[in-house]
Amino acid sequence: MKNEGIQKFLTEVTRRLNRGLAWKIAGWSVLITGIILLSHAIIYRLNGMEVPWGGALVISFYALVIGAGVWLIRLRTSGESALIADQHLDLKDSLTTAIEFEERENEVYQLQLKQTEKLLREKKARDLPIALPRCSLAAGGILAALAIGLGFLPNSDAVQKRLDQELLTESRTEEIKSGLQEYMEEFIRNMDADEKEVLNPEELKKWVKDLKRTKDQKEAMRQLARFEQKVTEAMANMEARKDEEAMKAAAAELAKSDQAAARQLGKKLDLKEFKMAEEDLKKLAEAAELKDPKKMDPKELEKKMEELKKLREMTKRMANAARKRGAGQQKKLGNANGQMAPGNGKDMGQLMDAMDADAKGLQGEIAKGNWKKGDWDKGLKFQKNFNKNLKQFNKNLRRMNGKNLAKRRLAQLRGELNKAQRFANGQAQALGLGQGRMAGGGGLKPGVGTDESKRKERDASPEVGNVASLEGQKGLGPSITAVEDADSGTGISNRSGETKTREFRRQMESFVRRDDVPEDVKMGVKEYFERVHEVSEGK
Amino acid sequence: MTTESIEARASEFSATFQKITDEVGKFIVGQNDIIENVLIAVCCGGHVLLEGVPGLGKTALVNTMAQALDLKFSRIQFTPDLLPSDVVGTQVLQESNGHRGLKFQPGPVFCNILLADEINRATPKTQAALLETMQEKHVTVANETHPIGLPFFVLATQNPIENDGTYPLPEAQLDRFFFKLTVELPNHEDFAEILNRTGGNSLPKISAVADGDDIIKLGETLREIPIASEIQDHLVRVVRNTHPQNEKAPPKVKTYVRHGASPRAAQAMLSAARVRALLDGRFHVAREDVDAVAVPAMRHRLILSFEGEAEGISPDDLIKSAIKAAY
Repeated sequence: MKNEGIQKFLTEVTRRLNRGLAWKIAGWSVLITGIILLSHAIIYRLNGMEVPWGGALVISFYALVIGAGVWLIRLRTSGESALIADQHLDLKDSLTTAIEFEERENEVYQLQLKQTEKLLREKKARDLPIALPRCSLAAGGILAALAIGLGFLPNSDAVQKRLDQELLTESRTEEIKSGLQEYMEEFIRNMDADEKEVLNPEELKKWVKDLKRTKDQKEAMRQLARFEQKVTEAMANMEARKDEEAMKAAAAELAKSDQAAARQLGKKLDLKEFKMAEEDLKKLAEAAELKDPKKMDPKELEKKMEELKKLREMTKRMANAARKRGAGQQKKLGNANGQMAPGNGKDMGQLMDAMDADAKGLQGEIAKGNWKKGDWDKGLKFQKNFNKNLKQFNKNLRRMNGKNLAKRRLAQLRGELNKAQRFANGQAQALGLGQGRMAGGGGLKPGVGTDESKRKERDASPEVGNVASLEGQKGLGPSITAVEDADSGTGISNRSGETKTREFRRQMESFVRRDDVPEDVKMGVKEYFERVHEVSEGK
Repeated sequence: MTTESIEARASEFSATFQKITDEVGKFIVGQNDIIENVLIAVCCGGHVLLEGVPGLGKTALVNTMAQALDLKFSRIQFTPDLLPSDVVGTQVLQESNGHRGLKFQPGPVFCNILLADEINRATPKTQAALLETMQEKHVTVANETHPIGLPFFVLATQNPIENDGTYPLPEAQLDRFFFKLTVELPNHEDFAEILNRTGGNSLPKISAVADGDDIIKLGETLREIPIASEIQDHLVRVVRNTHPQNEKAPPKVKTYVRHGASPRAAQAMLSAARVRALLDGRFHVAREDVDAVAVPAMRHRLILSFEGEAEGISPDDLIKSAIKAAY
């Protein structure tokens, strides 16, 4: 049976010791919290930043939780309390022994309990010393007060400038993304079937989707540069220069014709109106087609012959032009760049040659006027071949048309990206994507006015005009150890112009990526070379 | 047994102990700790090794103790030519009724209190004969065992400064001693008192205040005193802390001790601590009792390492550090 007097004394001792422990832990907690708060504040202040109050609250909360946790873990057991009481109240281990012997019945144990109880009557639990951690509490309080004092100081100018810049960049990247999304939707909506065949709308959407909202201006610029790079690559894929040159040559030859239809066709090819040219050719071919010559009356046949003659004039001119350009040799060069008609193995020159041959053959067969079954078969074969090659030729024209349109549209997109870059870089105050170009864009309807101002505050970027902080975009500059293409140095003579163009393009790209060149100069150089390339391609 | 009888026996223990101490104190000046520790060892049935320079009253202490206890006292002055038979006794040829036969002649060891003066001067063989008797409490000569009457205590002395021609006691034999007590030079006042008491014609008369039965009874009483497991753990920690292999042993012990104290030391400490508890009027052993008896109980049981011997490290310091590490 437990001794009531001893248990009561022990409970009092345990409670007092736990109170003392709580004070001790509180002292340490306050001191450590003060040290952490001050360190936290000093670290922020050394970086010129305002001390976040949230951090201080979190630190204080954790100090409280950890302190309470440590107190709970280290709560005194009755055995520990007995040992401490024995030590400090000069009990000579009476209490420790008594709590072990309480349950035993032997006389000597009872004697010991009696003796201990008597001894405890003279002792008081409050005689146990509890040291209030005054120094720790005071030191912790002072440190915390210092930390709070530091917490009232504002951000330094440099930091404030940086934070403003980050906020601005973040909002601008967001705005750029949403602007580009809208622009891209409009872009895709305006694409016709030919363009959609050469340019995947889903991929375009993905490019915009890849842009992320960021506080880092450099990262924003990097993202836009990557976007622009993709656009440039896509534009390079839209090149069909050899076929276009073939069409230019054909147009020049057709212009010499005394037939109005051929000259019209030549003019359309010259103006790169491939879709219209394709429609003209299609109509002409339909008009010249002999479906069942046996049933035709001579007048109708004569009319067909006349149409065929016109068609033959066109194919002949175009074939001549192709032959002059040495189109037949293109196959041997095997340069895939700009080659159309994938799959059938013929380029535009070869197709024109083949169409002329078929038209000539067909003309010869019709001239014989033999519509008997076995004899007309040859003519029918010529006609079939002609139709097949014309179909392929027209398909290529449509594809060229699509590429041309897509290239033009991508160039516009690149222009918009330049705007976005200037906007992200703080060189422009408004994004203004697609202004004057997009359908339905460019303001309100006539007669509808508004005083709404969407962007009331347009602070200029703090970095504008700060030449010292100009830096390149890491990882995107040209490598000085770049391996040049074999034809950049010693190319064959008839390709030297092309090599030069490529070299200029490389120089231009390298220039626009330089750190020490202001953005507007870069833009100017870029636009200048773009025009040079367009002119050289168009000649 | 009732609580009253236990209380009575405890009171009797303290009274008897005090009477003996007072009686011995009539002749022996100062040296209270030595007297108390010798008496504690006597109560526990243990033997004591007294170490001190000549003239400090070691022999006088033992003589006085024997007189106060009314016990049979013998003294052997150990010398290198002392034979085991000179200690334990031998068989002599005797003629009785016309018959001659060998008869056991008991040696000085057949007594209650044996003073083994300068024990380290005898050869190991002779030392071993005595130490065997100390442990077994009987003597075997010619295949015949002769028990020694109880109580039996050996109070051995040795001189720490004259090492020429001595045979230091082996560690195994040192372990048989309950306590090793170091007799120190008395202070100024005690010195003067010694001169006053012994310089005249009359010497203090020592009378017997207890006998052998009282001593045996004291031993029975002290074994009644319980010890709490926490205190016993403390005792074990103290002993284990003298072992360099123990990871909780203090660095000093790890550096300077080759072998720590044996479990026999722990037994001795427990018995001695019980006596101290009783003398303090307590019915339980406290850690302070354990700490108080740790030094005399273990100082002769520690075997120092080469470094410890070379640097003259005192075992007392090592034991104190082991006590400190046990808390």
